Amino acid sequence: MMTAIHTDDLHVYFDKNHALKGVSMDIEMNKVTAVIGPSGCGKSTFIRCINRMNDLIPGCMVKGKVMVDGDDINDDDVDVVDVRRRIGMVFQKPNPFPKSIYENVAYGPRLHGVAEFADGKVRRRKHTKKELDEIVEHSLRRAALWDEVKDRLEKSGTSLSGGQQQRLCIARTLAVNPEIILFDEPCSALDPIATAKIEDLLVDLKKDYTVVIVTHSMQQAARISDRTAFFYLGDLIEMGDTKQIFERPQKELTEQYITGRMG
Amino acid sequence: MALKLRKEGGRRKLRKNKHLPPREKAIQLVLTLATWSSVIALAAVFGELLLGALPAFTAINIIDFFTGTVWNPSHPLYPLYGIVPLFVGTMMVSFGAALIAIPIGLGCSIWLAELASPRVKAIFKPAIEMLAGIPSVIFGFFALVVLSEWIAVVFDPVTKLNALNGAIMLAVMMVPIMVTVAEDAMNAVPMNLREASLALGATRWETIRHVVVPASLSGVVAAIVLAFGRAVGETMTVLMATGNATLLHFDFLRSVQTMTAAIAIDFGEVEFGSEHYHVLFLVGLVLFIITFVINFLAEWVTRRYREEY
Amino acid sequence: MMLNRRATEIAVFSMFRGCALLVVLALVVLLGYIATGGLERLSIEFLTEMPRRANTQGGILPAIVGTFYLMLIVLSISVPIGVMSAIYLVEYEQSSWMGRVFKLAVYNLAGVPSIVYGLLGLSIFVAFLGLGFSLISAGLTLSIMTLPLMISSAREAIAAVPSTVREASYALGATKWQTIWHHVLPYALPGIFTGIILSVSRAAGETAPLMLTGVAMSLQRLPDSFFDSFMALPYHVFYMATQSSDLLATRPIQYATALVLLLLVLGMNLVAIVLRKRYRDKYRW
Repeated sequence: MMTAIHTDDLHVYFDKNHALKGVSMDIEMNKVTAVIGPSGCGKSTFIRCINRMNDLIPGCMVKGKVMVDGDDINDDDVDVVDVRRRIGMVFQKPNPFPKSIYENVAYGPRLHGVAEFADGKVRRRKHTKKELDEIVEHSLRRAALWDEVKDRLEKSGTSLSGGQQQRLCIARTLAVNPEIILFDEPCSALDPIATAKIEDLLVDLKKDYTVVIVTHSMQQAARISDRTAFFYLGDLIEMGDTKQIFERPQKELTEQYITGRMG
Repeated sequence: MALKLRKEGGRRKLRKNKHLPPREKAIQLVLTLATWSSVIALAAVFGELLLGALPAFTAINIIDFFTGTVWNPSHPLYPLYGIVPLFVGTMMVSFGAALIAIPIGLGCSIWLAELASPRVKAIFKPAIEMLAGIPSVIFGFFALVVLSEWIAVVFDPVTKLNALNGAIMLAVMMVPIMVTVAEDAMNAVPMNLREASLALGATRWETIRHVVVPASLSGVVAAIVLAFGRAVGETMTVLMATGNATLLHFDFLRSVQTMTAAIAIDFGEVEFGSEHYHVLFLVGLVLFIITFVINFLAEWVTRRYREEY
Repeated sequence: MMLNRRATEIAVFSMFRGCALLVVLALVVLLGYIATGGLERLSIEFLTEMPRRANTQGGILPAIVGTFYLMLIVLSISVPIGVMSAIYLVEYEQSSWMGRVFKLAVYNLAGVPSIVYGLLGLSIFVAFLGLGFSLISAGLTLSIMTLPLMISSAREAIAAVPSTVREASYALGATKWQTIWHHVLPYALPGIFTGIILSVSRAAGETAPLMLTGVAMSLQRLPDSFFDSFMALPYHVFYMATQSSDLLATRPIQYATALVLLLLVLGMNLVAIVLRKRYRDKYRW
């Protein structure tokens, strides 16, 4: 059991609003960790700290440490662009670019280039067409979308159904080869069948990636996650193995939420 | 089964549309009349141009009009009505202005839409609107009295009232139009597309370049085309800035005359109903058609390539 | 490669900021020159006296009065017709063919060069209707010119009224006109007002249409009827700067006239912007 992400006394303020209060937790590598809690409990805020998307919100202040691979990602000398490549995010509402399916997936790799070792140093160069084709196919396969779109890669990404668009977004994220993938309520805009497909995908992905998923559906968390963290009003109330959280919650608030006696 | 309505002022029946009370009908009539008079007024523009220009088709040689390279209508014996020098003059100042205004306008739009802080925006946007509201005669005056002197110092041209003077001043006038339309187009790109790009590890510039600009391209192109159309139709600025010599050439440091200026100037001395009078209407018709086509293009580009989110 | 991408971003963003600064600079320089050049001649006398000695001395009262009369004509003609047309188009004929044709016509006519409107004014009002070179000819021409702008801004303001407002009114049993008069118009009024101010200020600054409908170079009296000849500020700037008898000596007068026009137009624009901001915050569109 190795730790992928370690947060230490993490606080987030939006102007005067204290949105996240002293969250300390470990997220394990190659596991699916679910973050649950009622609306407004801070779960989206928490997950957005991990890839520093909260930086985009004016008036947001982050205190505390978020350690990935031994480094605090909030340090001044850390390159936030590289953080975001290594920690990917899939959003609630599918947001493919208004470009072709191929271009959607190729966008990320094109930006970052290929890393090479030469003379003992790491250099980056542009991809060849063949390499890009391979990356696109591989990512679409891994996102369980290849068979459905392989004959129409030049079609616009927005021409797909909701569930397919979300899988396209997942493929897009996979294409930059992250280590950790964050999912912010990825199925809340999808129908049950599309949801089921994505849930299967998430369980499959944990073989190669660390998955963190924010969900408002306890059933979903119970179905697919290995570890679960319960948030309430900005505090991390309890975290543990999913089975334990749902069958023998230690804290009373957790039990109230699980059994539906809370908002 | 009839609905039972509360008795209100004696009315008990459900009103059908056919029996609108007279007041509503009267109001609708008034509004319809107002709208139709607008339509008529607007149709009159084109109609009058046509009427005024029609006699020119019989009075002069139309081929010579469109291909003639000499514009000298006030010659007492042999007036020449070649539109080419005027057309070239218009195109020189308009394209010259576009060359300057497009990069600057684009840079401003991107800065305004993506980079400026709300506080700075609150100052800059009104500044742009003020620039857009300044009457063209003021720009012309500035070009005539100040800008031409600067051009004289830097370029030492034959005459300081030349095409470059007009082009620069027109560029300043074009930028606000461009910025307003292009900025709106970029703002319309939803935030979550930018987030998706940033979440993949793109820098802000890469996001702008690869996601925002392509997504708003139709609006940006429309902005450029619209601004160009305004430049083509501009009268006072070029009238005062470009010197109004009607010789055909392509030298920016020499004086030119645009189609718009030709109409404005010549009307001071033209005789009502004369050949010259009708030719000026013909020039106006050509102008109208050019600006119509340009505007149509802008509208078409917007509609055809607009991204649906 | 990462360093390259960062460096590119910084360089490009500085360029964009530079573009914005350039534009602000242009505005400041323009206003600065007009202001400094014109302030010395600006005085109460300048604004209230008639011109003397072929415009080389005295004031520009007739030009100011002429511009105000023109604005009055535009206000009384294009505003009611424009607003009524906009109401009709949004509330009564939204998706019919006429609505679409009209929208296209308004859009295109807004882009027609002002000199073409001058030609129109000349042939219809001056010649055909026999109104001659007069205030009314010029005023009518300007009214037609500002009609597209008036219609589009009024349309925008009226169309921006949320449909929930209308639905609530109809659901209570109100008629179409009652809904418009009591709910839609009050909501749209600030936007319409802004459009009116901007349209009228556009008309005040136009020169080309005036040149073809009879603006005078110098008058010793104010117009006593709408069929009389007139002076106007924008044309006065043009005339003095290009054709007055002593160009250099009258330079201060040219600057001062330009300044008066600038203050008038920009003042109106500023009022419109402030109004729109206040009501935008209040109604949140």
